[in-house]
Amino acid sequence: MSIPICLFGNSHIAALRTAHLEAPERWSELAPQMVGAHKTKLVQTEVIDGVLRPRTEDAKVAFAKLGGGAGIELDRFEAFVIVGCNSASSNLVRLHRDARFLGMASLKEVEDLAKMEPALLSRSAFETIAVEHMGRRLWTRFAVLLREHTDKPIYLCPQPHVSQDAVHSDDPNHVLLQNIAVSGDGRIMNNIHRLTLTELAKDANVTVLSQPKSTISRGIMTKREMSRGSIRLAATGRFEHDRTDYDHANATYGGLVLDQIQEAVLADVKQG
Amino acid sequence: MSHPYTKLPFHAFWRSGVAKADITRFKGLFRPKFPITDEMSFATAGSCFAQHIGRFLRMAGCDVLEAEQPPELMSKPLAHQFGYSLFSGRYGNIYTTRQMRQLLEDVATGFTDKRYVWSKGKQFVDAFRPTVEPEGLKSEDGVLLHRAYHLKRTSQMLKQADLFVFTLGLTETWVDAETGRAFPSCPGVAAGTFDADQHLFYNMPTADILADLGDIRRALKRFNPDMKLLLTVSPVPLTATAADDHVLSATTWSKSALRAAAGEFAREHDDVDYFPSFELVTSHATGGPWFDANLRGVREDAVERVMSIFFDSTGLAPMDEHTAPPEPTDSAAEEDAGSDTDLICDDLLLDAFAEPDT
Repeated sequence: MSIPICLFGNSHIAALRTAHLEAPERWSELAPQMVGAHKTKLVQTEVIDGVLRPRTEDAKVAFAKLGGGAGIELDRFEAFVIVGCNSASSNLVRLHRDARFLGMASLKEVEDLAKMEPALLSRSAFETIAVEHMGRRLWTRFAVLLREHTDKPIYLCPQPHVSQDAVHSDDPNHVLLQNIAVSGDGRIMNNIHRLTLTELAKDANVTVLSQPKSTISRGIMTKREMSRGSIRLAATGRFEHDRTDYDHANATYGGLVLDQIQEAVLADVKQG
Repeated sequence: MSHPYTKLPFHAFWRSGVAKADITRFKGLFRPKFPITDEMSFATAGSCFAQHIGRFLRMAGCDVLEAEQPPELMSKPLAHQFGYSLFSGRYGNIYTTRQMRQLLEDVATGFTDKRYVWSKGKQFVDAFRPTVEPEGLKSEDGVLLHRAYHLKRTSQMLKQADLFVFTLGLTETWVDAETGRAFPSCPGVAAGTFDADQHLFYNMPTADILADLGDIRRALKRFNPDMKLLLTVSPVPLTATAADDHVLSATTWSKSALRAAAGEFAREHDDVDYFPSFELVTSHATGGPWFDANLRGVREDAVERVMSIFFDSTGLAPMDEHTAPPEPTDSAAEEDAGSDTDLICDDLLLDAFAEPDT
């Protein structure tokens, strides 16, 4: 019998949902319900009598349209997954812009550290800033809300790294991310990102399922074959734009994440 | 009858200068020997009280130098925890003139020595600034590298300073028996291990403080020959004394020695001045008491009063013309709420959850 799990996410859940719609039999051990909610709508919710309900009008609209209905009865599920929700590594690009620590590849060629533009920090200071800065993100707040009302496993599937094709982007965050990759600090920043999420996840006893290594390029970017690239108009035709999407992954990526979730849930739920 | 007292200004007399004075302004108390303007670049160092001076100078829009800027994403409380933005350098509290002289010598020479790397549990700290890394660092070499960086950055900062504000805090210190190097705290308190054979107590007499001030002034001039020095004495009493005395007496002795040395040194040099923050906080005649319930911490309104008199006396913009710069907004809520990719995100979700075509 399939294990019922509920996945909550912002736009990054789209990759998982699309993957599941295309091949649900691949994850036959799971019976996933997915709930999407953009911006802060996931924390515009409350739990009453074990049901996670949208509290504001915006959240109600989102829940109704995006898989949440009138609410989610938490006891129906054996595990919960938070997808994306502002857990991105791009949250740390400005920190890398302003600071480095000993051991980073980008410092190897620097002759005089005192003359370099980014400040030299201790690794401890760098990590502490990362934890403090990312501690105020949407996913942490939603995880705490969920944990108050369930003792079932909660997982975080972080937002994927920006696409490696973002070399063509002039978005300031994308430029900074490219600089990280070019400087050789991609892998270490990926580690910092992972450790930061793990540290923050402790508060709500959340397990972080890090981005699959096979999807990562240059340590801190997502391989182009996993990224969305240009996207078509919505089915509703409500939105028109010609912007290239470097931030979201595609269903191929979503499938790999569902593989991770299935493996983790089977291990945790069976052990429980 | 004519005598020198008939020609003295109002502030030379207790009745007109103190008893009947407007104690919110204390006109005539500080008459700067040289102009102190908002075109100057200020550097600050000293004991805890010096942090207030730097803070208020910044709030008044003065250019207070900072050798090591904290990253943008570092919150203020976290920055302070790691020793940033408390003084002009990330040197931690400098309580004695011996420490200050030593730091300036080290900045000039780039001195580092493994002897002065202390252990803190399994980590290591710089013995001369043991609190700037709350967790310590992983290796002794790391401590030395960071110290070398700190000294270089401090050197760069000092070259830009027009006015160095130094708050003298203590006369009591602990020194290395072999080298005479002074530590900011007794070994074993913040980090390291106390060894009675290696660490000696030294309570600096006025003569030694004066000698150090001379060395400090000469050292500062090497960075910028035009740099001026403004001395203050911290009004904060001793937490504890190792002088085999009652802490109240030890405090009075300490502060008296510091005050005497600061006053004498300022009198001897045209480019050195003394600002009487000590008197403003500790004197019975200034409207206090100005201390917290623990009788050690200085109340915030006292600091405001002191700095208000400083700004008034120097002609720097009055306190009420400046408001604290707005705290940087928490961008987390804004980033959660919306971004340039709103259209894409909305579209993706709607697309993924759309009912399939029948």
